[in-house]
Amino acid sequence: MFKWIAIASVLATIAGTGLHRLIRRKRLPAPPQPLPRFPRIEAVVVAMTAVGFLVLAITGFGGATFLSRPLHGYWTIVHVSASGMFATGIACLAVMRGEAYGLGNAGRRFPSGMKWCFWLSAASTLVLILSILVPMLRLLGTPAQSLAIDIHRYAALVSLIAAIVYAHLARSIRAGE
Amino acid sequence: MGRNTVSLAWDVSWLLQNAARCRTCLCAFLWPLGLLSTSLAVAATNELPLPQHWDGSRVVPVHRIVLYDENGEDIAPGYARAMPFSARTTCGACHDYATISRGFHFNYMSSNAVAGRAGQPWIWVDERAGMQLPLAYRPWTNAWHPSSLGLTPWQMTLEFGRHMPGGGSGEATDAADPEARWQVSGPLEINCLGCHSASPRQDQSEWAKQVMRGNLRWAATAASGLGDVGGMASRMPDTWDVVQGPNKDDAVYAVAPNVRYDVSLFDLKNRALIDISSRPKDARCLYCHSVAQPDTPREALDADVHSRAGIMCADCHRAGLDHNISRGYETEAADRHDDRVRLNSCRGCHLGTEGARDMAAVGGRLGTRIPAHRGFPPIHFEKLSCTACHSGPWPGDRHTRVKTSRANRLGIYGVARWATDAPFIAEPVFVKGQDGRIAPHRMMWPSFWAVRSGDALIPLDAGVITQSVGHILEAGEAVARILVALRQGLAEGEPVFVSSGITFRVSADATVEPASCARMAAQDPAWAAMANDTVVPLVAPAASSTGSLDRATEDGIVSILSALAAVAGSNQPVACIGARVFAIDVDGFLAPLEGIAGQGGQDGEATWHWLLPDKTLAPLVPEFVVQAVTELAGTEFSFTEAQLARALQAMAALDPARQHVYVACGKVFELRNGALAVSDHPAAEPRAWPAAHNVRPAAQALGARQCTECHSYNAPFFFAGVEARGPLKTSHAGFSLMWQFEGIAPNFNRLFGLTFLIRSMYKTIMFSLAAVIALALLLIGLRILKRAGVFFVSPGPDPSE
Repeated sequence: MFKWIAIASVLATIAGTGLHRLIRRKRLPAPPQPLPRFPRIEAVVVAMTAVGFLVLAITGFGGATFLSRPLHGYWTIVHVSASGMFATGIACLAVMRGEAYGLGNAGRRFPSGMKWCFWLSAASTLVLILSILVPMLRLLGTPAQSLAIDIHRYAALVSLIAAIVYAHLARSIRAGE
Repeated sequence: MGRNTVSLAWDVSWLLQNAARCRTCLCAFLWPLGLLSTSLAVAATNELPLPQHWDGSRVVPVHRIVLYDENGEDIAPGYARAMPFSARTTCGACHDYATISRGFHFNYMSSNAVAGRAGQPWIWVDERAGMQLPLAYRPWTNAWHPSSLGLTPWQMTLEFGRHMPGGGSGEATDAADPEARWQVSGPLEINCLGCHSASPRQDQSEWAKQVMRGNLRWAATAASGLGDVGGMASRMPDTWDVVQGPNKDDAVYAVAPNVRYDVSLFDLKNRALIDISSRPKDARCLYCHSVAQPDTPREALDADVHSRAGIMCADCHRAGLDHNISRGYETEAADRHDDRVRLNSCRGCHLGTEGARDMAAVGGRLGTRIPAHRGFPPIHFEKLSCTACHSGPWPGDRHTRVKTSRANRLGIYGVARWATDAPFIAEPVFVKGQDGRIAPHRMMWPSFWAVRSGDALIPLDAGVITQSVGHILEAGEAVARILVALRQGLAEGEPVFVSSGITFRVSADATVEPASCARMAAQDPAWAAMANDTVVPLVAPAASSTGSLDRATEDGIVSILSALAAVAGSNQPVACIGARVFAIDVDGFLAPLEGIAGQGGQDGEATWHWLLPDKTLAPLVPEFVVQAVTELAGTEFSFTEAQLARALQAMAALDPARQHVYVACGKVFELRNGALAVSDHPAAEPRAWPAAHNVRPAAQALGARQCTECHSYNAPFFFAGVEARGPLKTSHAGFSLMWQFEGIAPNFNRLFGLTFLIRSMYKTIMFSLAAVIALALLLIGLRILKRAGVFFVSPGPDPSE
């Protein structure tokens, strides 16, 4: 079930971004770019987050969609290792770009779509972390453990969709420059 | 109709057989005619199936009943030639015997019966030949079919009837077998009381002894305690029949089987009160289903947690009249196409039945605890059976050795020692089962002699082996034979054999066992005597000053040599004192032998030898026997590699056209270029069956305390050693690690185990990151709320201004 929901959601998102590109025609204007305070560190963090996310998406969704079997074996270890990178990246970005991603009047560095995508991704990352860590604590019984796994999957799907939209918007900005 | 027709046919055939046999007895013509007429009447009138007697009352009916013999005749307990009672006619009068005989305990020979998950096979053991071979009539993958080894139902019944509930092979009296003696022994009918008797008189040990004596039709009566059974069918001639009665020619050895009922147990109407429990008591089940670790003392044993909670075996392993006992494994319902049995599995009882719409969906049957399994990822329940974590001995670095009732002949008591060390069964070995889940298993390694036929190994009969090479394999017996003979020549003390500092005495099994003694013999090896916990020479090393033997020494030597003469065969027993050799001359006196150099011991102590026909001296037992006895002392092994090589050489000499091999310890041993070669073969691979009990308390389940009980670099669950065991003492035994039976990737599990070293740190870091993200989200959320004006209302103009 999740497999088909995931495939449909991702395809719909990709289609939506394509449609968005066709409809808008006009490139997004590059917003004024205040310089980050630690540009090199931020670049490393962004790269780490991106790599972590890609590995998570491939190992997590690759198995669930193409292999039709849950995460297993060495993929699990790779997935868990990448999760640390990704969570660290998101947490760092939340701190370093908190102002830039601010939904109020402060952030002019990114368009609001990207800001919303980031915070949606951050929120789903929080759910992803907790839906894995809490079951490790001997608090949840078997039904709750199964629910936690389902929550983890759907939070990952939300995160993936947010990332796709984020990437689309970022690409649009870059193309407009 | 079918049942009565069968009954009628049986009666007619019985009538014809007995009428032919008992020509001298008028009764043989008259009362079978009555029986025939009765059967005809029954067949004509009684077309309906037998009524089932349970009317809804939970009371177990009092079984004060008349007993019937196998011909359906009332048993008069005071009659001197009374027949043993028959369950077929006595119990079958009310409970449909044909239906019961299709139950799981009895239907193993039927091709229509559901084979189900492979269970414990019968294990054909011959300790002397070093054979342990799993057998099963059901098409299980872990055993040979008896007929493939030439075993007939008659042989199976005699071999394993001791722990069979009757029926099955015990009633396969029509199977073609010229060796079968059904006519003498009778059938081994289903022994209803073996399970359902609640009487303290019920004695399954007696059942086993009667079966081994060939008293098949008498076994149930003897075991019930209703009567005393004497005589042995196995000693009766092939032509003897029960209707012939006592053997008037022999009242000592070939005594015909007979029963004397305890008349005090019958009332005036010849009715006996049979104490019945409709749900068999655990003790009845445990006669055949006991498992014990030989190294664990009885007082250290704990019962299954269910038993401790008051749940009986039959509470889970239930059956109706059909006696299709629920075995309790997960996929049984699918195998039997019967959803009702799903409730009787671990999951069914504790977690409820998936898809059920009634109370069965809830679980918690019989007040059982519904497990939460807090902190266990659900993947565990897909990969593991319940028993993997909850049952059997706690896994250690090595498996535990266990004995089971049926394999090791436990629970039979008497003067003789019935239980056997073999077969060697290991537990727990975690094996991926037929349902794809890993479960604890018991495992044994087949051991047998065979001949190669292409790639196949064809097992040989153990009797053939002991006959042809038994003298090589039975080292202990060879020494024991001499010791038993020496007993006759010793005035006092017990004869012993001393080798490599170990003192051997004759055991109850006519072999040798190590004995503890305070002072050892001066010579080694030596034939000696043990008196007052001290080993002394068989004959005191006394000599007169003239060099001749003194009278006492001479008498002692004569006595010993006379005793040895009984087992000398074509050899002559001699004693060596220094360089002189003494033997008993034709007049019965001790005389020195000329021209033969003696091999006497130190300080004038006599040593004992055979003088061979070619006038050379040989030890009383060959050197390899001494070595084997010494090597095997205190071990459970039957023979050594050196003995095996000799035996294979002997077999090759007897039958050079065939390549003989011995399979044991997971390997195939054979001679190649005169040396012992070891190889692998599928026939040598271990055979396993699931072990469900004893179930441990939840607090003692694997993983209940720490994940690292299984997920660590060297966790026994994955990485314990499984060493093949068998009757052969060898350094080439197969060795595996647990993961090889589990179908898992070892390296991944080692790596995964290592991740638990940093798991606490990982959790801490990830929780910290989650806290940072949560804080950022909180701040951004507050800002959104502020923007939306939910919490912060503009104060408006200051009224003071």
